[in-house]
Amino acid sequence: MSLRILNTVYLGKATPGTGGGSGGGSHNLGYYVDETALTTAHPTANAGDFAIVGSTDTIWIWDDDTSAWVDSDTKGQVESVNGRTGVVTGVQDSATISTVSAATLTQELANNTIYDCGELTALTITLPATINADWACQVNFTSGTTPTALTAPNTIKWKGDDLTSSVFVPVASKRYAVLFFYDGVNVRGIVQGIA
Amino acid sequence: MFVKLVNGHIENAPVLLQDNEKTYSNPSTETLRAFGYKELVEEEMPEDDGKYYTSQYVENETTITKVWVEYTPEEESEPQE
Repeated sequence: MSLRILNTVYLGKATPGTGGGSGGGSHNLGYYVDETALTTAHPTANAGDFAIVGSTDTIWIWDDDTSAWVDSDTKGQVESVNGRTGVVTGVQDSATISTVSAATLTQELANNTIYDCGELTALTITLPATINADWACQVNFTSGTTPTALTAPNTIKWKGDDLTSSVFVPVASKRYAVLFFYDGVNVRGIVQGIA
Repeated sequence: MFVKLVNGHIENAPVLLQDNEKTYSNPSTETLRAFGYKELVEEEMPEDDGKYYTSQYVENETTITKVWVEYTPEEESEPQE
């Protein structure tokens, strides 16, 4: 809840305060330089009473349930995410981009890697012996007028475009993006092809 | 074209082959050979010389050849009155 909105709704009814904390209206108790000034002037208050505290630049509201003043700016804030507190910063791990210019690729798929290929006549992929929960990678390639010959472990669970008997079979003249990731049980291959 | 001879008939190679470990999509010629498929060679049908021919497949080490073999059709018997 922002100070600006509260000012509009409530403060317009108030009589300007005087000195160190007088106020007007039925609930507006006025302005106080800090929390101590407020609690000294009003150790108790009535339900609905509020005041402005200068040190926090916020509205403080009398909480009848706990008989205490509450800084309204702390209400509704996210204090932790998954048990973590502190400043939230966006973190994005950059994937390693491997540009492939050859017409064939035989590759063990490495974590957090994008294999950006041109037209491939043959693509042979293998999986690492150990795959962690956050393992993921992507292979981009073009299947030419002669479709790409793809050899892959039969443990991969395929979904998406151009599947035959639930296995990815590239067709001619398409650009594919294939995302591989581990779901905790299986390695999945998600296929999207554009003609 | 790679094919396999099964009971006198040819089967075209599929776009997908599998074994216990891998899947082979659009398999290469090497993979097709490893799975027993051979290249199909088709001989031209003899020109119309008044004879009758039927096709047969002859398999050797690396190819399956479609050949034309002369045969004599059975004469139809005259219906009895």
